[in-house]
Amino acid sequence: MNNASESAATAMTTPRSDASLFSPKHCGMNTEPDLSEDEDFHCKPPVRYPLLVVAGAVFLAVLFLCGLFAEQLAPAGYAAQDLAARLSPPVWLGGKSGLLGTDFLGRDILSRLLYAIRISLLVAFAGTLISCTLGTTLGFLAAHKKGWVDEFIMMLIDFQASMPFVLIALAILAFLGNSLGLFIAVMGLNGWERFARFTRGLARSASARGYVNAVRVMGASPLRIYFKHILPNIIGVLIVQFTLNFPSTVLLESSLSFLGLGIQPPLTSLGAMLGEGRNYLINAWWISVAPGAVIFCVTLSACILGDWLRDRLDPTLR
Amino acid sequence: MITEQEHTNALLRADNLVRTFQAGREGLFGLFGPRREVRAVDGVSFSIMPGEALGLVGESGSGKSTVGNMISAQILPTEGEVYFEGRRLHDEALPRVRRREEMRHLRRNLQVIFQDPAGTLNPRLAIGEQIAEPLRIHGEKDARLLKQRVAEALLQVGLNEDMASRYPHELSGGQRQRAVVARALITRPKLIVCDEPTSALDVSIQAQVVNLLGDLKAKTGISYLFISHNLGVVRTVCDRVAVMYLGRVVEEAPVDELFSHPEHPYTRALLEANPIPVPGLRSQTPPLRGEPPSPLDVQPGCRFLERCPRAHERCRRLAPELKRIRRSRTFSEPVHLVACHYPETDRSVFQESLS
Repeated sequence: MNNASESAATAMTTPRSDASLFSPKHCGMNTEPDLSEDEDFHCKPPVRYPLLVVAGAVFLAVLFLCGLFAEQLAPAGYAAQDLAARLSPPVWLGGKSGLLGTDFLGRDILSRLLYAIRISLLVAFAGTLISCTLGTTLGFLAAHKKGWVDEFIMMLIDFQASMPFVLIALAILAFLGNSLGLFIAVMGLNGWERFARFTRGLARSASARGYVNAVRVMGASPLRIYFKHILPNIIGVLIVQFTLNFPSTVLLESSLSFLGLGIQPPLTSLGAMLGEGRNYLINAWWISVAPGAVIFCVTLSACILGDWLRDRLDPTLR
Repeated sequence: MITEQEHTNALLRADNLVRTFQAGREGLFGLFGPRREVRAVDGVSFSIMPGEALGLVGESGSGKSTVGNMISAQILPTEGEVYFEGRRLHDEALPRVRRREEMRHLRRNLQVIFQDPAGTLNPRLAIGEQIAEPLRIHGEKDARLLKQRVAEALLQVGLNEDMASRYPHELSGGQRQRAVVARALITRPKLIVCDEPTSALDVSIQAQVVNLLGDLKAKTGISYLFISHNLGVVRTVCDRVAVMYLGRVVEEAPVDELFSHPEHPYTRALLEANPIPVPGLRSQTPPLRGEPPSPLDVQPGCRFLERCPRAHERCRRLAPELKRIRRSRTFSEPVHLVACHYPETDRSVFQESLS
């Protein structure tokens, strides 16, 4: 599980199409000690996986699997009501039904949580991916074209940064109706300006470096320069930004769902569940605590993992 | 002064290259007045034959790197033309597609080695990947062939084959510059523009790299345009040397000829400024005074006028042209070009004009 999520994360963020030709050899610790200094130098120390990173990765992987197999895992449907057992606390606290209790309509919270994880992870992941791709591409474009293209993109960035995005999202969703596809597209607009700003600045400073000039003189196309040569040098920053943007998208999705313009009931998401539980916080806290805890842990895991990945992807720090 | 034969056979020919750069405006806060122009390179011509190494020397700001950048098509010349294998670069008469084709041809056959090897290697890509990059750019996709060519190139520069999987920060300075040379060699170019290839290296490594470049030339018949301010290095590698001063070539001669009979007073001063590695032994002549004049306002006469120990009235009026000088009547005498009204050995002219 651990490996699966990691390789997925690496594949997503590092487009190493043809960089595998000369992958560094990893020398195991148990090989016979080689006294030649040169060979020793070549050996990479074995990769260390700190406990927190492993925990975060495992947690995200488990959540991912939960979302994937929600139908099989859920003891009840997400919309199945049992009004006789409404607002029942979790069984281990003396409740009548449900491992995590039931909500105000007597729906099983555990089942709803599993479906909510599916929707929230999908929306947040797809949204962040769109935002990252959009921002990076526009950032490269601004760095490459300069002139009025740069000015225009910078204007868009400033506009996005100065407007509360919830307002923009509300306007779009209110006017264009609501569907999952449109909702994800709107999520994809969240935070692209930070990716664009980072990319533009980093790409411009990288362009002034000798190695970019060297490949330019070899006749490399701008696309090749930006995506093969500059991107690996700035990917660390983008990954950290990705792990910051991911939880912020989870939260945005929550607020929109809470306002009734996000995920529509009876379908649910972590934010929608949190919103529903708000009215019962005093006498039925378990409705909102479960999704709240999941949001907290997702955010934390993503940040820890991102921080570790940034260090891993920098060969000079290895 | 290019002979007819060189015209047709030269690998590279630069014809009256001029490059100007915009400087700030004159006047109050640099806001008013006409824009000023710096003529960084002002009418430079030379040619490089196949298998020949031409050294381009001069102090900082003499325009030698600008010439290199124009030759390697990193910047466009303001005036003048560059011919590579007899074909003109940036020929506006050609259709766009043909021009792009010509550029590809140039990019494949001309490579550049830059000053700082650490800076010109991408810190995030394995060495082998970077050495393979020029071939990849020119459309080579076969992984096995790429690997083989990379190993070949590494061997050629005396690096171990498994350096390919390392990253630049794991290499020493000398190894890095070797890797850069390997990257330049992989497309089997005909000309390499070396822009101060040794300046950023310490002395023992300089020798390694210089010897390597010399060996490669002997083995593969590659040509160099060798830009440097280090005369010793130029002497080891080059066949011919052109000395630049303030955007112009002031002297050009085969390397031994130039070092034994410098004709231009500037060349002479340069040679004498080269330290003699014997304790206590100093050059007898006083070093050159002053600094080169600003390229922003160039006076009509000789550019070396203010610093020249032998400046004369004629030098103030008339800028000397680069022309061939003869010391004897034999035709076997090497071609020695100098832009000076009163060259060192041409005593007769000197005496005559004094009287």
